[in-house]
Amino acid sequence: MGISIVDSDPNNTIRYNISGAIHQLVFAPKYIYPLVTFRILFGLMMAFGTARFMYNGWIEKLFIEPKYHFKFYGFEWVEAISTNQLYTIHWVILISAVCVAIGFLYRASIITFLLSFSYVELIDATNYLNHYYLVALLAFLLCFIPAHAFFSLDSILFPRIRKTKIPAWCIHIIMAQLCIVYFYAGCAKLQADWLLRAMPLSIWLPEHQDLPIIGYFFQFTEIAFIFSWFGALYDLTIWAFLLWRKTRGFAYLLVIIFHSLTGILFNIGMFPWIMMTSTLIFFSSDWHGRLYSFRKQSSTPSFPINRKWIIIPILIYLSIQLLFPLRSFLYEGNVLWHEQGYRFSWRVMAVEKSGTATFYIHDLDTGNKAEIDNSKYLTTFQEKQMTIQPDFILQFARMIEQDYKERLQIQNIRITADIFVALNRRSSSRFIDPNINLLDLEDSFREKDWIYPLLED
Amino acid sequence: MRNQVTMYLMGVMLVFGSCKTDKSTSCNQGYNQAALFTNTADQVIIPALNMMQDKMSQLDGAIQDFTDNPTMDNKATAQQKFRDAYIQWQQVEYLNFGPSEAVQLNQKMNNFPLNVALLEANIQFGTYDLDAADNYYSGFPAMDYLLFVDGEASLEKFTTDADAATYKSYLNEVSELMLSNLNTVKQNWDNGYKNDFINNTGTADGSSISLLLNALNENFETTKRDRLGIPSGYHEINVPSFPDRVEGNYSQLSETLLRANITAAQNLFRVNNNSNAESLMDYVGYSEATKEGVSLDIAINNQFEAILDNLDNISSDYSNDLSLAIENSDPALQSSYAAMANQVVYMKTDMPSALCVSITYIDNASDSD
Repeated sequence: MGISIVDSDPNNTIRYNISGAIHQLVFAPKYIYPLVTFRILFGLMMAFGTARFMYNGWIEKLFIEPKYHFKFYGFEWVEAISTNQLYTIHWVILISAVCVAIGFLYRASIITFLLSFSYVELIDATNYLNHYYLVALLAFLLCFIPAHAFFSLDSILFPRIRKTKIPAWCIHIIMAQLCIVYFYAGCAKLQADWLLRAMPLSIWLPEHQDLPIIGYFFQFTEIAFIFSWFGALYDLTIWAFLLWRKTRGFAYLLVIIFHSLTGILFNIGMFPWIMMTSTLIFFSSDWHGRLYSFRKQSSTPSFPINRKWIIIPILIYLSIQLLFPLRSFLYEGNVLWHEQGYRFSWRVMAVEKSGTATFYIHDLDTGNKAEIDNSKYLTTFQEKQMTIQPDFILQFARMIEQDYKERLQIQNIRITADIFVALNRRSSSRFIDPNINLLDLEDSFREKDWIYPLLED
Repeated sequence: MRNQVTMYLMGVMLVFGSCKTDKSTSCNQGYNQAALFTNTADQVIIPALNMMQDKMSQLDGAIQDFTDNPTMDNKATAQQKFRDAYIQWQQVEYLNFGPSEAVQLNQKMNNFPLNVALLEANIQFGTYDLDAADNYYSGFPAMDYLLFVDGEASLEKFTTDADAATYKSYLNEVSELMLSNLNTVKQNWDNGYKNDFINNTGTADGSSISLLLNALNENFETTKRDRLGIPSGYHEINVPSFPDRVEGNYSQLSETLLRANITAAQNLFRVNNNSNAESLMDYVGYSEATKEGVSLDIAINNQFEAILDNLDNISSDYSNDLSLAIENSDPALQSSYAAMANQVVYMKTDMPSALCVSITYIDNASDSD
């Protein structure tokens, strides 16, 4: 190939020559060690997270207790499954995650992990968390990456697959994904509530005044502002400092401090751990190699490269990741309020929101109406989520319709709702048109013009 | 690099320098929460519990006299003591946190509507668990039935009925259980909980302000649904109403009880209308939150008045019995209900938002992000 094998670091090896740069970023052989660390920690954390999920009784609480489930647009076909099947599938997730960590039957394991994990996440959309989405994306990428080529059971069982070098894209694509998460999470903070009102941190921080030492400071609004601004700055720039070799050590220290603090302060489960372990991939292969004390083992990289079939999928993937979070700009108004384009956009911790929703069913044949008792259909958690998210409001109207059609054979139905929502400490404001028949509306990416604008007091 | 960091930090400092401390972003830091809790405990909660204990022991005494000696006079006395105690109960039902929650007091005292069939089966077979979670055959609703179902003049159940002995012991057991649970709650408030309550400041889950707001809202929503909505048939379509599901159906006390319940919520909110003292209302006022141009504390208080005004519009022909008003579709029922629905928005969505408290009885137990 005529290009010397160096342990490339994207920042200091980008050449004036574009094709050279592409080569370094995508095709140049790179030591596999950072990827090995990533694979092991990712697998272990997912196994731990799944065990924790089961241990906390969340299978019952989030999947079994609810009588109805909300769906993601386009995934309405995902069916709920029985209790035993739910436990089985969680064990499948856990075991496949362990197999990924130890690198046993890696390809089959990571594909199994991706499918079973995604399936569980698709059962009920009210459970959506940004970090579940991140896990699914990372697992998807791992399906294409030979992360088991070294320091794995597979490489012992099948010595033929053993490699110490892999094409650079295998590592860079994961780094790119993490950069995108940070950068967009930072962009999501560049809005008035976050920067000018320190919302919602100025609500959440004072709740922690009983923490030793730092708790004392949370009574001051200034601290909420400092945290907000620092948080925005951190998310917008930390990825760059992680990329640059000179600042990497200091940046990782910040990663530890930042995510530990958010882990202590907020109820965000595995997210801090995912970020603290994943970002290790930014460290050089020298650094990682030391962990395995097999540094610079020689092996001739021999991967057949059909360049087009690597570059094009990578470009498609990255374009989707870069463009999809921007879709909220296509809708008028404040995305924190109308939540169109809110999910899958790395808007983490951006809102404190609650509301009151009263639904009415009208029998158009008799002219009678009744108020719906939401708790007969939804768990309290689902009700809270439904009240503030317009696509769930439509889905709930359909649930009511179906129930009344089946149970009471009422055919001509209209469903309306009085919904009031309070966003980031504002007084509540009417969320949707109270007269519109929710059954007339279909969910789509089109602007939901039946959502009322946010009223500022 | 170092210069860049310094620049950033200076930029940040500049922003703070220009931000004067603004109450709308500080979650009401500086408000004397302990005084609010002290006033609420000393002027509302403790007096309400004392009064309840007093009325409940009078009721218990009257029931003992009546079952020992089932005369018309003794029945009339027991009936009157029952009315007094049931009305007083409305104030205590809002305290479903701490000691009340620990013994599930609301469940023990007032699971309604009564399941008459279950109660009669209990009497017939003589085996029952008055303490069960779904005891829709115990507490005030059972007394309401036993003391009032046969009309004022009849003593039959307690004298000539084949099960008279069981009726008498059942009534006594219900009363004793209520009194003993109430005593436990009162003792716990006296022996330490009051201090815990006063000192548990802050806005986190489990803080006193969170407990108070959640209990107030939960019971207010229960009142809206169970005391008015369900009996009026607002939750069912194409079927008539359910007038017999009102609270205090047999003693025909339902409107009085509903009014007492709303008044109790208002008293808890504004600490017996003492405008100089720290109270929930005062705290909401301190937050400077507004609702459609009106200060939120005023808006909530006005809404309580609006509910009571609407209840006043129920025709006096029905002599404080909601079931009659429901049977005759009194239009004031609908307007009272609508006023209560507005109040739910103010109290459950606006007030917690202004006070930086989350409504935890609808909250998430798993992760968030």
